Amino acid sequence: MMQRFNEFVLRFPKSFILAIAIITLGMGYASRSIRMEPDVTQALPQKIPAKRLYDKMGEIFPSKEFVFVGLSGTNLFLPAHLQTVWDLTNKLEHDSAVYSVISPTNISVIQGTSEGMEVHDILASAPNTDDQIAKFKHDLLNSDLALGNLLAKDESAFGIMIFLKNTADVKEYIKDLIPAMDQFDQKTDLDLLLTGKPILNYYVSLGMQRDMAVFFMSGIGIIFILLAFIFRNLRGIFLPLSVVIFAVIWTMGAMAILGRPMSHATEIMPILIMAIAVADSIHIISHFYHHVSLTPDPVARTITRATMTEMLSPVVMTSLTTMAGFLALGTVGAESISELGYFTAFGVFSALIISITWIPAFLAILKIPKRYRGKESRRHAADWVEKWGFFLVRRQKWLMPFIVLMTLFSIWGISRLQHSFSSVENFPVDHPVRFANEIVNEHFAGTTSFDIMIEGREPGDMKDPVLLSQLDELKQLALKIDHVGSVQSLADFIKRINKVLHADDPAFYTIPPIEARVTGSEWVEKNGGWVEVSKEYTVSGEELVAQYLQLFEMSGKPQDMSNLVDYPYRHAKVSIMINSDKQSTLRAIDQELTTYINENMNRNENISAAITGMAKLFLVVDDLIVKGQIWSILTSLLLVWVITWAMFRSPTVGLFNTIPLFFALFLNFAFMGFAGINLNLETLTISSIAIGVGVDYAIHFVHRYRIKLREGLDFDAAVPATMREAGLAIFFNSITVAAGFSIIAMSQFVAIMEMGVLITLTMLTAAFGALTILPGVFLTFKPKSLAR
Amino acid sequence: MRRTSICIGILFFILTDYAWMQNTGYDIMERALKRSSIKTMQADLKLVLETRTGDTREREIAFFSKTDPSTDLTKMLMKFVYPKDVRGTGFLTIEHADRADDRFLYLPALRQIKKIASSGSGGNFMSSDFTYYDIGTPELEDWTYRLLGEETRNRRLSFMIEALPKSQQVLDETGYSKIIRWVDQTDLSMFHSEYYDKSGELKKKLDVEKFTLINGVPFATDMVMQDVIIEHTSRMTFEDLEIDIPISDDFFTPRYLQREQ
Repeated sequence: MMQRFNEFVLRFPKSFILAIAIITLGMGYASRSIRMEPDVTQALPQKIPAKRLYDKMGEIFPSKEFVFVGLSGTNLFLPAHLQTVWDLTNKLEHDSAVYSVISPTNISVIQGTSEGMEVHDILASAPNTDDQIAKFKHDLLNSDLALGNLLAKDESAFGIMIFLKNTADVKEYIKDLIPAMDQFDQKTDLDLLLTGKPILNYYVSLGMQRDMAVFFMSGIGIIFILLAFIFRNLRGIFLPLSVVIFAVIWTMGAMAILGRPMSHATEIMPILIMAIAVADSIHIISHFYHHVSLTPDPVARTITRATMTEMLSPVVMTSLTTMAGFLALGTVGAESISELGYFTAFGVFSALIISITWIPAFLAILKIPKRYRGKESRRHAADWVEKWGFFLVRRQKWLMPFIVLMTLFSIWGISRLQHSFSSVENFPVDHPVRFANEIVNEHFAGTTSFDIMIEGREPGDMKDPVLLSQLDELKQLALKIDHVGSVQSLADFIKRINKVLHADDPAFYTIPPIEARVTGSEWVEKNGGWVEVSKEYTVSGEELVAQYLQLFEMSGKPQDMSNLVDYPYRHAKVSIMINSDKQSTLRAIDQELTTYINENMNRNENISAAITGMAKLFLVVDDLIVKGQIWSILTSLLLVWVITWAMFRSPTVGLFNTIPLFFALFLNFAFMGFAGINLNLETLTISSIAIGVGVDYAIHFVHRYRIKLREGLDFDAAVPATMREAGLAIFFNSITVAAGFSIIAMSQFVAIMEMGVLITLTMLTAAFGALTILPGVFLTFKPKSLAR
Repeated sequence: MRRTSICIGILFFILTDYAWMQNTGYDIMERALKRSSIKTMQADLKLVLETRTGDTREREIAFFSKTDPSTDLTKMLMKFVYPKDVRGTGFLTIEHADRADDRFLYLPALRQIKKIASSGSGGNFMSSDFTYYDIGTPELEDWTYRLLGEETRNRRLSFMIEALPKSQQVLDETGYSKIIRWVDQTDLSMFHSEYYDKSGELKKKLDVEKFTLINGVPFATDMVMQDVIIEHTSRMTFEDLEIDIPISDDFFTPRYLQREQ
């Protein structure tokens, strides 16, 4: 069948060239509409409850993301500084993407007085006089609001939270906000800091664009140099180069057509495809020249036919195993990683199609330049590889101890492995975002949050005093945990109003009990006039709560509350700000919160409470990393084993192919353990890529070794013979791919950079495994299944 | 606080035959705002607030007001009828010529009357998208008017009139940098208005969906105000509207606020 395919291509070379060109143009056109998606948590699938809840929260509450603006300086309470905060707040409030702005200068003050209550905006205009400033400061500090994000603990900075509408085009908003804030920064003595998830995402997106451009240009550059070095002619450079560029275009086109965005994970996809795809073209073209050099009077079409007859099968097979490795990433469960797997597999497939049509079609119709005839190169290098084979045979007793030692060493390293996911730490140490985040985490309540969603069965369920007391208890509990900066819930508003309506008596800063005794008054007619007399009553706490809420709705800012409870009072949210994004910290907080929720709120069958929020999603991503790592390794090993089993028609021989992979993976994880590189979303992909790409080296080696055994050589003699014929190809192939992958280390993001280093290393160790460990195993065990 | 006669003033007008001699914006507005003086008013007011996602909050309020024709000062009493858990919650506002309004609150659960001291514009009416200013009678002289043109809207041939605040004070108190009103050419009803905020952006749209004739005077009895920025809508409906029925001054006292009805 493969033969027929080759004949078909060679019969209509021009049609194939035209078809590939047309498809590429079409895909190129389609790929223009590709989107960028910097948000890692978007990659979580809907089947994860915390993600589902997070999305639901976005439907119920008007705003779930906020930008944090910090304004720091010495002596904050100066007229000029307060004017700045006042002006900035007004400016920020007037934007259609903004749901609400919470600033020290715009909060409402609700205070109890002896006669009743007082409601006013904290400021009517920016304060000028000492008296006005003193009153402002007093009102701010005594407002019973969660001040954690409005004023730094040491009063060294003000904070403004800009809550964005869930429907807003956040990216556009941030794009305009950053230069506007820079301008503002220059006009004032205060230092402005911007942080929050939308800001991080914006910078991630910028970094992605930069990375992709750098990767693509460097990829082309390196491949160009490599091809120039290997082939020293135009077709040797431009045919493989066109294959890799076309394969990338096809893949980007496919993503755009399917409406899938480029993400933080898929940004490395083009370079992966390029590095992998170029190897096949190099194999085909170098074989072509090899044939040319051996043929006295070469005819292009005949040579191409001979080349393709020999190469089609290994090219298809290695492409299939590579695809298998990438497809295994689909089991990870994070959408962006699955997409990286699926689309890279698609890219490898595209490269395969282009390599076996476009290249032979051109080779068949182009004339063979005279200078290539009767010229065979690289004999010298082949000698060296052969010598390595003899060395292995001589020292074969040392090989097993070496393998055992390496394994033990690796296990030691692996035991030191850590997993952690932090979007901030992914930025370079000197990035402004990292600086802003550190300052804000140190001085404010934090910008990462756990959100507890509480759902009632009926409208009004959130007015239950028992539930509200639990919310308050939860708050007190949470505030005792390290790194919990502030907690806000509906309970705060009830307590505030209860206190206000009791003449600001701190004893009433509580949730009303189920049955409350109140001292009210009654009007009675006495001596022809009406007089007010005091009287004790018992009222239900629920009624009190309802009326307090009604009062707050009318006197406060409705926006203050609408992010904490929905209109029908059926859903409520507790927002817990965390000033750290360390996994261990988040996990400890998550556990304490979960225990409380399950032992209290969830005991009530009308209420269901669960944790979500950015902090929770970070944890979920981290869980996926660990679980996904194991699954993707197992799946890709299994797929590779099945394919090589089918190829070599023997399960045992199939298994041999995985040996160098184990070696490479062990070393990779050990290296990570020793170097302190964390397992994360990016490094998670290494194993599958290593398995899919690295197995090629084993296949080449096993394939050739078996031929040598069948030719009658014994296990020892077959090693240097195999080295001579396949070793060099394996060596060059791994160098090529490693060079391509090493470009990833130029990323701006720490995790991707580390990933680039690791994947490069793994390609080299996989090749080393195929050229050392595999012969070692064969020499030691002399497996009979190979010779059959 | 600016003198606003809170008797849903903008929302009614007199049907008269006009000879359109001179249609400047000011003239049209002058005629549109001219009304008979109303002494008392009583109605069941229904408020439905709706969020972008379709969640709603319903309130029913018994509404009473009385205006002294000589001073133009208004007293207003409101009592919640629905929902049940806030039934009896009441508000009383008494305007004074020389000092800030007296505002009282009665919470039936606490059985106490509280005096509310508040500064600023008073904000929104019952946490709806209507401000107190929106439901009061606009002072004709606070704004400068310009006739923008004619337009057929909702199959009504109307004048489009732009109103700009005459002073910074008007801007600060109302929060509007511009209001555009659509005034029906046949009956001079203002059936549509658009409000622009301080930064000049369109903030709210008002649609009067129903007018009811009471004592020969058409009242806007069903209105929808939409805040286009926070994507929130408020519908205000009046039922059983009665005008100029006798209500004693005693009724507008804290004691009445507390009385069971």
